[in-house]
Amino acid sequence: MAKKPATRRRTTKAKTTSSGQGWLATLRRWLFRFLLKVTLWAGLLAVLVGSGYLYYLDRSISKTFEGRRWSVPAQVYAQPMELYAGKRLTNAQLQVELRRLGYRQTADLSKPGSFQPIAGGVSIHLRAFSFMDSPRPSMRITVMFVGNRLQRLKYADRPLDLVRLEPAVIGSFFPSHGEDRVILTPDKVPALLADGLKAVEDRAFDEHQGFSVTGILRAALVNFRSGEARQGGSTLTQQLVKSYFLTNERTIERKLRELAMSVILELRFTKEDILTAYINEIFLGQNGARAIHGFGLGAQYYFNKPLNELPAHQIAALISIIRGPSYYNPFRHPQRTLRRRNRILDTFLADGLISTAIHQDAIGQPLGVVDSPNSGGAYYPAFMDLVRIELSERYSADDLRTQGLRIFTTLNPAVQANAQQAVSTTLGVIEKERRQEPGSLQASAVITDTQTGEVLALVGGRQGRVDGFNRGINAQRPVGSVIKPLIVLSALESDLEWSSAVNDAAITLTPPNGESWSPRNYDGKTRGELPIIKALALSLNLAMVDLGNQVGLSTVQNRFRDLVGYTPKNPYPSFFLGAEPMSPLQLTELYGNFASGGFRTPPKSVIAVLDEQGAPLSHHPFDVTQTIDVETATSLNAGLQLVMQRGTGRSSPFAKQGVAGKTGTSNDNRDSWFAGFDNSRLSVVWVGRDDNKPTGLTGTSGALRLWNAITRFDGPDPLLPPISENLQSIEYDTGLQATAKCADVVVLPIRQPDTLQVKPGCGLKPSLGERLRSIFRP
Amino acid sequence: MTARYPSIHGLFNGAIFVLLVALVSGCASTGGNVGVIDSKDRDKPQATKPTRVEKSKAEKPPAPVIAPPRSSAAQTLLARANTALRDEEPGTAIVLLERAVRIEPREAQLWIRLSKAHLDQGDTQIAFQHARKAIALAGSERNKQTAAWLQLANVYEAQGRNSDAQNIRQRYGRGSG
Repeated sequence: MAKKPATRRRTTKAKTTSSGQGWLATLRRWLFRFLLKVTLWAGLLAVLVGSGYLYYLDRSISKTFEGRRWSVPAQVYAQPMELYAGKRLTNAQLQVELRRLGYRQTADLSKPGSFQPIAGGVSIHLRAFSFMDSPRPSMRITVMFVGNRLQRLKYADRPLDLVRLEPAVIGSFFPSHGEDRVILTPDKVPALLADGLKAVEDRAFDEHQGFSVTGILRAALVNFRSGEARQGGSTLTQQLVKSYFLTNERTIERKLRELAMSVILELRFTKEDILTAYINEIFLGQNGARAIHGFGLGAQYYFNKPLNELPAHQIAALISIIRGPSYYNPFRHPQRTLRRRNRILDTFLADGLISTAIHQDAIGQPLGVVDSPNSGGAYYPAFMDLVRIELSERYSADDLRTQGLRIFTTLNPAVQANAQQAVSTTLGVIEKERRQEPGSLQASAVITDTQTGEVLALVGGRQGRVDGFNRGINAQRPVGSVIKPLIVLSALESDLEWSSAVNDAAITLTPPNGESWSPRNYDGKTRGELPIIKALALSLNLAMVDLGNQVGLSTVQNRFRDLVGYTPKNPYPSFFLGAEPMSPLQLTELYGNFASGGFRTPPKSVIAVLDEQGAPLSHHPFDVTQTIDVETATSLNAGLQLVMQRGTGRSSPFAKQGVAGKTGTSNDNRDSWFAGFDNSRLSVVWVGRDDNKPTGLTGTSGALRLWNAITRFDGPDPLLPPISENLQSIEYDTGLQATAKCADVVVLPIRQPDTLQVKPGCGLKPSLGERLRSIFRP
Repeated sequence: MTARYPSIHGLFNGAIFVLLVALVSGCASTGGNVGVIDSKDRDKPQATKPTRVEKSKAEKPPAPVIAPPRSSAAQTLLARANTALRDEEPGTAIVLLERAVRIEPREAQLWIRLSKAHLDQGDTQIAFQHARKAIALAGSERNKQTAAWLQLANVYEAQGRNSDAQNIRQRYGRGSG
């Protein structure tokens, strides 16, 4: 047993010794086979992993590409301005509106988006727009004015009944990561932009397969010669991929991944698809939380114009930004951007994209960027909050961000701009006059159409373009005396009249389960018996508490619920004096009942929502519900006009011009309120401080002044005089029937004139009722 | 403006006015299914219209004469809305009428037609409130009052409140269509 292995060992050894090369060959063969196997296996594995990775890249880039292609934030439009004969509008106001929409003043009206003043009017080349009811092609019109009215409209020398300006874009619901865009289809992309992009960024775009070696070499050469980074080596496709996955890491791995994805994109999609995607996607700047993506939005943001209206120098300016949106930010670095723009114009010329004449002209043009409130949908964040709240009942956040919805709203940009300016200016003036810390006062305002409840403007604070705390919707502050017309309404609906007596005398109330309460008048005085109208006009607290007690707290609170749709938070008599927190928007809803002539008309901001193709998804009709009979509403409004003429509103320059309203002041002058309306607009204004400290302002010295400033822009549209068979002259101090000859009288509807007592010495015959009463009087 | 166009324009407005008269009569007596003005008619010879008016006048009791909206803009929109109502497109009519209301918010006639458009859509509650609004805005204008109340009667009828509808019709002197 022991020998056998030795023998074999010897034999093997002998063999090896005899053929040493054979052993090596065996090893080599074995190694070769082994390596082949390993390589094959590794290769197979690599192919598997590689294809998996490629599949992953393909999925990821294609999905992103497709997703971005159709993921369009909802566009929100303001109300379009209607033009028609008889409209209250001046030539100057129309031109302001045209400029707001980015129309340029020029003698050459051959292109849409232009206007030219003429004697007594203005000629306009309107842009085409797809309105919610129908599309309207671009058209040239002439608008003539007489004084402050639009006199007539002409289209192709024929009279025109009415026409609309296209509505301003006031915002969009871009996703939380902030990317906003306006999607363009290939046919909407100007040829100069497409060709210019290729000339400047990627000369071989039409030939390459996603990357370009010659491009890289050429860029390197150009950059080497000029000594600066004039050209990038990345193709447009690579830039597109890069912008999909915005990241700053500069690694070989990322570069390779980008390259692979570019090749995949080129294999999967056409050149036109890729170029269009690039034009819609590329990052062009940052506007607060909002990232400006794509040339469509870029044109709006930087030039307040649609892309197809940009001349050569503005297209060149946009292209110049691509290379570094913050380095070439035209607002912050105009000179630098201008230099680059001109180099790009030179390239345009050299490539034959523009003529020498156009080049000559373009080089001489300033950058022309406009920082207008409307640029690229400049955003009225306060109003947009309201739109968001209204839409949230029907649409998901995702719908709003990706479905390309078109949302038509009620905002009137001129009214909004004026109200915002009035707030900023007036608060500054008040602070200065009262030596208060600048910026300490805040305000908000809601302005609606009296008949439809449509919100024309919503001011959420002093700074209109800052998306901060929205006081118009979210600030809940005690409304003070602004609530008093509700008590009077309840009184008029019982058997009381404007002439009925209330007692302005000290009172202490102890409600069940409540603390005892001793209200006081603002001036600390008491005035004894007086008619309801005077108590309301002078806003006498004690008289109003007396009236509230006569009518009953529950009656008044039930009426509150009828008019605004919820139960008051404060169940105690202090409710009579407005110890009830409300937002300006809620107060607007309450006053909408009065201003509309007796209909609950909740403030609304959305008119309709259309899908991307323009098919209606929802229409939000006028919401009116009768809550007060017409006669009583008319009567109440007549009283509120007297508040302006004789009471706490009399300091207003518009007090005697057919306006109605009521002031309010909360305890220690923390909140200053005014709610007022004329024939067409209802405005609710609040002034106060965010820290809720006293301001020293009453409703009259704060909010009313702000309302005056808001009303001054257009002037009031006077309320029609009340039509009532029951108008009676009553003495303001006593409520006795009298004439203007013998007393200081006010004229108000009195439902039962028979109940009026006659003022002696006025030569009036007592009514039948009065005479009967005198017979039975003991 | 040349002299020629205002006169044609005036004629057109006049035609709208006459047609509105017919419209109210149709609306009241047939449950509100008549809309007469087609925007396409604008360019057609005027002669085609009166025939239609006379026909409807001959068949139906005289209608209250309602003055058209003050502005020709609102008149135009009202005419287009009436076409849409006739073409059974109440949604379109609502958009046009709301546009007209923004121009003349206190024109009762526009609210009457809005009420009808919502009724055609089956929104009786909105139709009801819009008819109430029309009544409130009609004020002391008797013919507008009548037309607004008769629209309310149509709404009542759709709500199955036949006796309420009947009462209104008796009060305003029009039989049910």
